[in-house]
Amino acid sequence: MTEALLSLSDVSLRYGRREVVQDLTFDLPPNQVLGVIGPNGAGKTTVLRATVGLLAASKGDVRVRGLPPRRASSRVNVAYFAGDFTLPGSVRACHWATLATGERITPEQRRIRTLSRGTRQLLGLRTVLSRGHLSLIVLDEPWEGLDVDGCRWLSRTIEAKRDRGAAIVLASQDPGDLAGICDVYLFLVNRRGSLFKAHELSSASPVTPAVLADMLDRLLMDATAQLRVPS
Amino acid sequence: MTFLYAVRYFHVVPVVPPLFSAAFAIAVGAGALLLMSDASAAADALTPVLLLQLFVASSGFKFAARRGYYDLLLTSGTPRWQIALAHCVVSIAPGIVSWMCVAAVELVATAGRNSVSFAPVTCAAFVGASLMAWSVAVFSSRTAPAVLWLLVMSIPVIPRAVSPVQLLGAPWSSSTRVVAGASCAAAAIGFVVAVVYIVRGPTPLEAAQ
Repeated sequence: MTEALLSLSDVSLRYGRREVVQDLTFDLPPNQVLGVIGPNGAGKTTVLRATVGLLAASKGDVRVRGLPPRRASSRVNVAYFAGDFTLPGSVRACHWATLATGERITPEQRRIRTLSRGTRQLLGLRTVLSRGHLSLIVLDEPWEGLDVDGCRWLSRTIEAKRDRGAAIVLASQDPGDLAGICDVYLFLVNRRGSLFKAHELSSASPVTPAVLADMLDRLLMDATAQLRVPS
Repeated sequence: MTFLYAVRYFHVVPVVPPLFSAAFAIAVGAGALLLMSDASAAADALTPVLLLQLFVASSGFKFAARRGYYDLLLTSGTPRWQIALAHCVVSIAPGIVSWMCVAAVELVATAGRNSVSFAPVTCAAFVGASLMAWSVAVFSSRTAPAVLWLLVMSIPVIPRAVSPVQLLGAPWSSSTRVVAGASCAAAAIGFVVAVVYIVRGPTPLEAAQ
């Protein structure tokens, strides 16, 4: 079996006293795409930030190629993007785009805050994905605000990076975004993670948005039933 | 990725707003004019530069990091201590350069005979105030430490000795030595605490908490 590039074992994450995610365990080998699905506030962003070392687990272990993420980031090329709102508005787009590789990947002179949301999102994605030899790609709601061309470019890029050996983690609250492009799906509901391989969700390939939405609904209903006080 | 990459990052994602750079230029210009007319007025020429430095060095790390502005840098593989150092250097550089400019004018005006700008207490005031302002701002928003300092200075019972401005041009006596030493020690401790926070602290996304 291929050695996992990203590995989480019994990971719990918290903000102060509030536990966001509990006992999360999964392995992600290279050449695979993991889709993280969950409703708003389920902890998707928190899990993603922990995988790149921006947050520390309150319990359990996060490992990237066997090392803690912060130590691994000096040896493993990582791309992480949390959304267009994380781009500083006062910076010119062409200057921001040079920060990943030093090369000018866009001639756009305008300041980031004056760009449309989709253009900002595309700028952020293109910048992080322009880093060479990426081993781990972590994208939070990457399809947000993108037009049809942008979505097509992103899907093609994700496939190309995966084929070149990258392990990819994508998060979305919309099952439609992730359907069909992931090898493994992680549903985050009520602080718990439920992991399914694509073929476990649907014998027909590829997994459809309806199948993912159905599973999310079922997990949400189970969680609600568990929370109900018995009469 | 290295320290130089972090410096370039903080050059592109500005730590010091351009308005402050313009303010420094005005302060240096005014200081130079003052020194040309009265070569012994170095302390007065340096006062606005030091006051501005308190605001500029309070650049704020945590708030910008929690908005995600530094995600690209923090996941680039650049060691965190180098990121902290680069942020500090870029934050305090405009004030230090301005101080050097005023010092150069003073050297010319006094024909190298006397230098208040390079006196040990002046150095302690600039280094101490710069590092302390940067360190406190790592945990707070931009300029908050300078505003807090101004507030403290406005309380009459607070001794004037805690003001770095009072150190500019002060004689090298035992009392100023104690104040200068204490301010440098406090700044060094604050600097270490701030660097440790950047190296070890979490960077949650403000919007995701």
